[in-house]
Amino acid sequence: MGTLITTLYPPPSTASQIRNPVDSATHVSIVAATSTIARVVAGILSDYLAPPVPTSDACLPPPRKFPRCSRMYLLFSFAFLMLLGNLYVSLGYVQEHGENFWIVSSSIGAGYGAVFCLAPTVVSVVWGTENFGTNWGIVTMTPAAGATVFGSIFAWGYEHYANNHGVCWGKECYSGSFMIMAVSVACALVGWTIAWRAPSGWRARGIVV
Amino acid sequence: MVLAFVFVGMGTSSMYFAGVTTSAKNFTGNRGLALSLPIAAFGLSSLWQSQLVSRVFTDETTGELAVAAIFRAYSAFLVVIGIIGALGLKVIKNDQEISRTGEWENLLEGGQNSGGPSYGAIGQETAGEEVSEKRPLINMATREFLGDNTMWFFAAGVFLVTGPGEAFINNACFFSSFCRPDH
Repeated sequence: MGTLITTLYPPPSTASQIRNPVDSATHVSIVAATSTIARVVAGILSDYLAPPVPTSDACLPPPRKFPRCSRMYLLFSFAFLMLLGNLYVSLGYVQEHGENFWIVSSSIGAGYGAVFCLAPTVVSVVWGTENFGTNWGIVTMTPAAGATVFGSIFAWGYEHYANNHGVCWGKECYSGSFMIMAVSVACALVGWTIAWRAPSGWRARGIVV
Repeated sequence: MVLAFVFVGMGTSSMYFAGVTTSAKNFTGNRGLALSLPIAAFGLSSLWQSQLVSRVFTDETTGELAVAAIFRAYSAFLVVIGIIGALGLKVIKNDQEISRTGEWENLLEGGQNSGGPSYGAIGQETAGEEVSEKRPLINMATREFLGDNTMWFFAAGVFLVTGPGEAFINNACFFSSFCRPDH
C-alpha cells in the first residue's frame, strides 16, 4: 500500500512541489480498523440473518420476524465491496486525489476482513465443526499463496512502468494489476456461486448455508 | 534465525487454531460471532502491540528498538497466555453436539464416492485400517473434505479474494513502522 501511495503523486524531487498528502500509516490503520469492524459486524450479521444450522429437534429456533439471508449473500456483498475498491483504484480515481484514498482502504479492508470471518463460518456450516480445524487449516493456506501471487503481479506492474531509478508514479503503475485483482475477486464470486448453486453444490445436497 | 521463525510460525498457528476451533466447536448456535471475535482479536493484537512496541520498547532519544527486550517480553507474555489457553480452552461436549455430527455426516453422503489422496505414512492396507479404526473421524472426514469438489471451488474463491487483499496490505510495509494489520 505504501508503494501504491507513492505512485499517486510525483516524487518530491520533481519540479512540481505538491507533497503527497497520503500518509500510509493512517491508511494501514484504516485497513486494520475496517477489517476488524467488518469481522465483528459480519459475524453478528451472519448469526442474525443467516438460516440456523440444523441442530437436534429438541431445540427449534424461535420463528423470526425479518427475512433470512444466506451467509453466502453476506460473503458476496463484502467481496463485492472489495471488488469496487479495486476497480476504484484501477480506474484512476485516486490518482492525485489522495483525499479519496480512504474509500479504497476501507472498502478493501472491510471486504478482506469479512471474508476472513465468513469463510471459516461457511466451512464450519458446510463441513461441520468436528473436523473444522483441519478443514479451515487447509483453506487458510491459500491466502499465503495469494499474497505471493498478487504481490508479484503488483510488483511486476510497478517495475514495468518504473523509471531508470526504479521509481514509478502515475496511473499506469497500478492500473493493470488492480484490474487483475478486481477480475480475480469477480472470479471468486463465480467460484463460490458454483460451490453453492451447482447441481452437486451445497444447495442440491440440502445444506443450508 | 530461520529456526526461530519456524518456531514463531508454529506457535502462532497453534494458538490461532486452538482458539478458533475451540470457539467454533463450543458455540455452534451463533458460530458467526464465535468465529469472528477470536479472528478480530487476532487482527487487533498487531495494532495494540505496535503501539506498545513504539511506546515502551523504543528509546525516546535515539529512536532505537530494543529488539531483544521485545522478544523476551513476548516469550514471557506468550507462556502466560499459553497456560491460560491450555487451562481455559475446552470443548464442552453435549448431546446436541453429538447428534449434530450425525446429521452432518448424513448431509455429506453425496460427496463420499471420491477416493481422496492416501497418506504416505500409512503403508499397508491393514495398517490403514488400524489407524482409521483408532481415529476414524479425522481420516475419513479429511479425505472427504479434500475429495469434495465444492471445497476446491470455495478454496479457490478464498484465494482469489484474500490474495488481492494481502497484496494491497503488504505493500504498506515499505513505509510504515508496523507492517500488517493482521493475518
